[in-house]
Amino acid sequence: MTNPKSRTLKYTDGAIQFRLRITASLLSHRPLLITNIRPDDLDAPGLHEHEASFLRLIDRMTNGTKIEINATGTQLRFKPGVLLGGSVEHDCPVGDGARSVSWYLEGIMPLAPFGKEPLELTLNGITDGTSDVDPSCDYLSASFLPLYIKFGVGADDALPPPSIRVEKRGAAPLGCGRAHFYCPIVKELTPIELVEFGKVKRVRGNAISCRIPPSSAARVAHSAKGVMHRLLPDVWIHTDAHSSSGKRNKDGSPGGGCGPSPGLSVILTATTTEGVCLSAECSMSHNVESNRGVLQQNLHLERKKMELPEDLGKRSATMLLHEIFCGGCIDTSAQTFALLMMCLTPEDVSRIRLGSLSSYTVVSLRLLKEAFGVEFKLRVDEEVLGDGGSDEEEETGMKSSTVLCSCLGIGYRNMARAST
Amino acid sequence: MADDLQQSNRGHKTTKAGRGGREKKKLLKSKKDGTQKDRHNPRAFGVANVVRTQRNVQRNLDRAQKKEYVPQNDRRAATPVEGPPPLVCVVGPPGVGKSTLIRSLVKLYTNHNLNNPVGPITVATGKNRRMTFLECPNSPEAMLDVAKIADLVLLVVDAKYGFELEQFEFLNMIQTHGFPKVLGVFTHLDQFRTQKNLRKTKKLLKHRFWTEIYDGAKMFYFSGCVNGKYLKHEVKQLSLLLQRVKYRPLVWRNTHPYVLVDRYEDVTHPSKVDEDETCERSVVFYGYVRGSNLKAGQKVHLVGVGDYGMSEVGIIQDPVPMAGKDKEMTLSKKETKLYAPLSNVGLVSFDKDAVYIDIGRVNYTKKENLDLPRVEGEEKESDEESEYDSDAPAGLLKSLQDVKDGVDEKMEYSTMRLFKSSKAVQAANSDSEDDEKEQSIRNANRRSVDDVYELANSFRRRFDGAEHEPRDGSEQSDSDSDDGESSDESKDDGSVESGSDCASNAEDDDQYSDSENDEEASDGKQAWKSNIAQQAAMAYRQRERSIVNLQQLVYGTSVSFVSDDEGKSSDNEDSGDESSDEEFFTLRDKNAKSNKSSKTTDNGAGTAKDIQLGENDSSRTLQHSSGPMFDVNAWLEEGDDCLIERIRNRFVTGNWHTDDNEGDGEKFDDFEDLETGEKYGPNGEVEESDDEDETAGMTDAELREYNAKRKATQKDEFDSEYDDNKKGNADKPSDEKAESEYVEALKREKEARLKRNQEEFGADGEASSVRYEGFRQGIYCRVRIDGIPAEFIQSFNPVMPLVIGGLTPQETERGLVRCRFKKHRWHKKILKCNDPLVFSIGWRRFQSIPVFSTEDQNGRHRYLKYTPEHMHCHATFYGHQVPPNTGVLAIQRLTGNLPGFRIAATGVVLELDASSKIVKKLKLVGTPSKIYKNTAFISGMFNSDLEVSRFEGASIRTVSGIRGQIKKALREGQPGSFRATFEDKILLSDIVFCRTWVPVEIQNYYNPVTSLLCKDGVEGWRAMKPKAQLHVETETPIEVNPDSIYKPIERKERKFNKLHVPKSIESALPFASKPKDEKKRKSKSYASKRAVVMDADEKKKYTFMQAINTIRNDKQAKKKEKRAERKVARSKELAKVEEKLDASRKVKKRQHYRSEGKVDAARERKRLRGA
Repeated sequence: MTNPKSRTLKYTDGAIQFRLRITASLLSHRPLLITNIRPDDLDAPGLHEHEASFLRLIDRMTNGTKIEINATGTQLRFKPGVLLGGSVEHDCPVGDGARSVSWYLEGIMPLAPFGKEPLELTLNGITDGTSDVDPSCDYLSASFLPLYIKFGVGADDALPPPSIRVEKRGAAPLGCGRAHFYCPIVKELTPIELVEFGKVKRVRGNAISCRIPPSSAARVAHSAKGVMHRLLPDVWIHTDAHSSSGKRNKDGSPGGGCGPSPGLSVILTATTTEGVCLSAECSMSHNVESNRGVLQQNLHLERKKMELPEDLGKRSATMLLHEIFCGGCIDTSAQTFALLMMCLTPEDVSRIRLGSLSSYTVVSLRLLKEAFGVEFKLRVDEEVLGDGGSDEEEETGMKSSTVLCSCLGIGYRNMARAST
Repeated sequence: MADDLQQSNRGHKTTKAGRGGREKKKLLKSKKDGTQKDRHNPRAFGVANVVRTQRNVQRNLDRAQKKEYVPQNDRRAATPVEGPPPLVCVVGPPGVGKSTLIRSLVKLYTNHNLNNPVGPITVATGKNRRMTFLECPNSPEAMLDVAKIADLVLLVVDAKYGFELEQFEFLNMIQTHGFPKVLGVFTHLDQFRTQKNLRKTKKLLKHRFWTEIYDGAKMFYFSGCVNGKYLKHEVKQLSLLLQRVKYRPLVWRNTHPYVLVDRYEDVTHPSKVDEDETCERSVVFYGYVRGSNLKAGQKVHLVGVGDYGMSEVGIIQDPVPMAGKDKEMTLSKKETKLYAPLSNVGLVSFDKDAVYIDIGRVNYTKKENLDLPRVEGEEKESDEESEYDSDAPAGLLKSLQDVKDGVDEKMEYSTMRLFKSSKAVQAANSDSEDDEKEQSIRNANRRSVDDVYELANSFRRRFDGAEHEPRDGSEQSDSDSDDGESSDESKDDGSVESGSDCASNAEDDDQYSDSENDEEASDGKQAWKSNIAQQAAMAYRQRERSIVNLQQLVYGTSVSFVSDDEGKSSDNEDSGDESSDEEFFTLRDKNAKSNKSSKTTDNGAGTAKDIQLGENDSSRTLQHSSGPMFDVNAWLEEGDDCLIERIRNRFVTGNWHTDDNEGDGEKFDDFEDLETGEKYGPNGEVEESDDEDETAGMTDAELREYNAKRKATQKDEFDSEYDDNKKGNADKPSDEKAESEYVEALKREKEARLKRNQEEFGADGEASSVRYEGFRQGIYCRVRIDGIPAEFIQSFNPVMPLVIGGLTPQETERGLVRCRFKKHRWHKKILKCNDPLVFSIGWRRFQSIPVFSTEDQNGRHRYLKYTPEHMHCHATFYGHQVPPNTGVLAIQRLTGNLPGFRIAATGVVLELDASSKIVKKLKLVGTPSKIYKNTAFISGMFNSDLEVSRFEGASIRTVSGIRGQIKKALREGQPGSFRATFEDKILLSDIVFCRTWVPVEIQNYYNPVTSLLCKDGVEGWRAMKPKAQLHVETETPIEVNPDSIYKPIERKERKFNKLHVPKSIESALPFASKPKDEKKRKSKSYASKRAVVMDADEKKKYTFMQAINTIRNDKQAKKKEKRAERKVARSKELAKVEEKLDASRKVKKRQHYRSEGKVDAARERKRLRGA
């Protein structure tokens, strides 16, 4: 329950859902106050570097935003301004514990269609290798961009459709990658109805390797295909190998088509007959030190600890199978994005089918209710899997329950956009 | 249509004889033989003129294209039953007959004579129709409000007088704030003396009206007035017209909810008001929700007061309910409804938990208490009755005065039965009823407060139905008694019941949550006790698939802060017994609570409130790799019942028909035998008697409904088929077909969306629909707003419309608003930059300071001192944000009786921003202090080196047009001097200037027009005055900048030295270029020095020539003299003639003017006579 007089969104639990809170504050035009941001963390109290960087990016994208951070960084006051858009370039911090550029993109993507001008954002930093915490750029373009289209972003012929382009790969932790994001602006979104799952008809994928033998990517693709072929013949996985060419660029940065860190990741996308896109990805976890000297010495040792490419391929394939098993029409990682966009549609009913709600989604549902006053109608839709359908099987729990989420949008309109 | 239904005419007589007959016979014969030849004439059916046909086709296509339009976004209710009553506003200057019109219409509909129509008047005009009338007072701010909310405007015009400026002002207002339907109503037609004049005036007025609205706009004439009302048959005609009006959707109202307030109640605690008269009040407003959905958390703008959050919104009973479907076709006399709380009709008014009854007199004290000697007995009772209004509620209230004991005393001996068979419990000695008692005490308190609260001028009394009513014990026992019990009471009583159900919000919430606990506890009461840990583990494991009451899990148990009767009652329904039990069995309640606490501690996933996310802000937390549910090996297992086989059917390679025919090997789809008409089911059984089976067990009503449904579907089918056929017949070319298909698709999508909207949240009743989508339009709602200044109550004027307008979150913010702006051509003066204007945008009216600008070709926003005379410009001001394309209207002064057209300008919002890009030209001027070849040192342009460095590289120019560039600041010399280079050497006398642009600062001035907080309306509101007005009022002369005054330019005569060409150059010059002006010789030239000596012959010739010349000169002199003489004589003659002519001209002129004057006078006399 909010106090009718004060419109400030107040949080005392620190930087939980940091990006979403800022995004919601910007979209609901309500000031934000976050306190207790890691006050008892002695090593790195307050805002982390990537969070500060995100705030800087927001500041660059908006006009009139006021950001106040106290001396220790444990408190943030945020007064939203007008979203501008336009061409913005931003350097994201790299190193150990740094987040990939897609972490920033994930926060920016709900805002981008509501700027004054189309957003052309160039982010420099880590593009790959952090898929255990963040969706990668490929994942965003595979699962978020189709949603964009469904919500009517880029439906206008006058502007090119939204796109995410990885211009240069840069695996964690040293990054040096470069991603380009373009998003046209809209007047208002269109409500969506996405409840039919259909049947999975094809699986496409991409195995990306940076500074490791190209055969690893092929091994990943092969093993992933092995799993998927048990269910579907139409599986096609590209391999995208980036090698170190040894030469350095003129400015001293490492040459070749990718950044200095090695990395291996794979993304799989399943498309159904109803046009639903589900994606899964995973990457080799980097357990190398960010210090470059150490990196070169211990490279051999460290690699032995790593996962085998075959295992990586299997893991990615099973993750995709799990995603399909959940039965939602929207990826688990894209749930929050879809729900936020549903809030912003005109005052019509939007309805989607989700697999199991992730805890992140549950917390964001509450945030959406507080910020926008939108309560979703959640209904559990049970469906028995397997063609047997006997009682025994039902008992063993092979039911997949999906959640039908519906809401009435708040009728958000892009007020920053100038009319002529 | 079948052929046999067509009319058959008698045919022509067939020719039997002659050539025609023969031909015919031949034809018949050939037809019979089959030898008939095809009479083939291709020319007869071909295209005669290709070009013309092509053009025709093109033209038809163009016209069809023009007709197509993308369907407008319309969010109004589909049927009048669902929506609010349309708002009909009667507008016009004083004395045109607005009140008379409303009075006549109300009389027609309700047979009720309204003396003084004030405030909104809602009238049921038919079984499924109602209408709200509102009279618009003649003040600009009221007119602005009405323009924003009216669905239909009845523009009343005194035909005898004609249109007045107020009407044009109002038309201008509705033009900017969305154009509702306008109906012209012309009155005072009986004051015309001649029919001809009437006709002429009507025509004149019609054309003027049409130019303002559109050609063919509907108008209505009232020819006379009888007994203070218009003629009955004419009013009836108008009412027919009103029924048929189609209201148009307006963009602003599609996206904003609003409530026209019918009445309000001040619900501030009386003791608080006693303490401080000027304390902030909490006020409850009542009215229909209009526009889009009103959401509980939404901010609203109380027009004329300010922005507020709604503390509470609730649904209350509709004062003018629709008769609905199940009633007969017409509205009977008894059912006619009139609701006009501000006009003093209707004695009872409802609130959530109270009923206000107007008892019709000032004094509440009974007569016997007034020391009047009266005889006791029956007579007195009846006397009382007749003295009071015989209206039921008032009589009921009167009976309440006869209650002898106080409630607390009554409680002493009140009894209550817990169960049907049990003994009644007396309140005084029951311990478990402390809760009840507490409530009763509280109510008693409230009652005593009420006594204090009694106001001399308002006769309304709060009336808490539950306690004061004399009832038997069983009814009194349970506050949750259902409607069935109270149905025998009067209707008003029933609503009181429902009101008391949710007497206090907090309490109810408690009850609700407790009952939830009970439910949870009852689910697994025993299991909990046995093995809690295992249960928790199970629940944790099964989290993904068994989501129990997900809604509650996510949003928690607390009910949203919307308060509505129905929601509460439905909540109580499913937990009804338990919640009432709780009051008695407190032990169990505790149990439940402890259960809950254990549950929350043990079971992490049980209540979602406990979900804790880390601070790393990753949408991937607890998923895939690290999630507890995900296991790679489970998916990689081989075998028949492995995990992977379960989802095989999710793939195209899997089984497509899992549900239809499991276990059934052969597929046997439904089919219909076309020959026999029999239908077969999937297994081959005959389905003939399907319908009969369905209808067999139905009652009459069900059957009727079933048939109606079938009929409707058939009709839809036919309609769509018919439409398709029609389109098919038109035989459109493919392009156009595609075009119309596109529009059709749009329309279809829109309809589907509407349907979805209605179905999604409507199914679970009003409570859930309110929770998910807010208060739909048409709901009669009650809005409590806290913190309203006391001035609002003190200066309330029922005549002024009171509007609560909903705001979107964006609109609560203030920023710079740039709009396209144009001074109204009827406004006398141009507008000055930085002079305050009162703006009306969206719901709001406020004063702000605009800065005018224009956009140059290169996109620069250049500052303007004044608005252009007949052109658009941009105005930027500080104010609340509104969506682009919203209309803006500006008025210079709201107060004072100013002559002329008051609307200063109109426009449309273009852009919102936090900063502006307006710039102003600035010329920096400097003078050269030292000049080298093309380089010069310039000083006086800047004041410091820093300033210079800011302008390095800027282009500069001399007055004479020599261009240059600023290079670098100079160390020495005057601070701010710099080195500059030019394309040519400049002079020391040259002035150098640098043209720059400086951003213009916009004052953040915002002064809302709080006209409802001032005693005398907008006159009491203090506005910022424009400078000119201040000059006049304070009698200060306008300050003059002496530099700006034009002075005569004094230019010194310049003397130039002679051009000196050096000898060396001169010698090199060609002759033509050599300077040739010779100096004056000091000595005579050679030729002039020489004397001329003529010989005799030469001398003779010379003298001869001299003599001739002398003679000629003399002759010419004489001629000249004579000519002058002749000229004089001639002019004398001419003067004489002219004199004569002049006289005659004068006479003619006089005659002409005389006759003209006569004609004019005659015309004037004629006009006077005719009017």
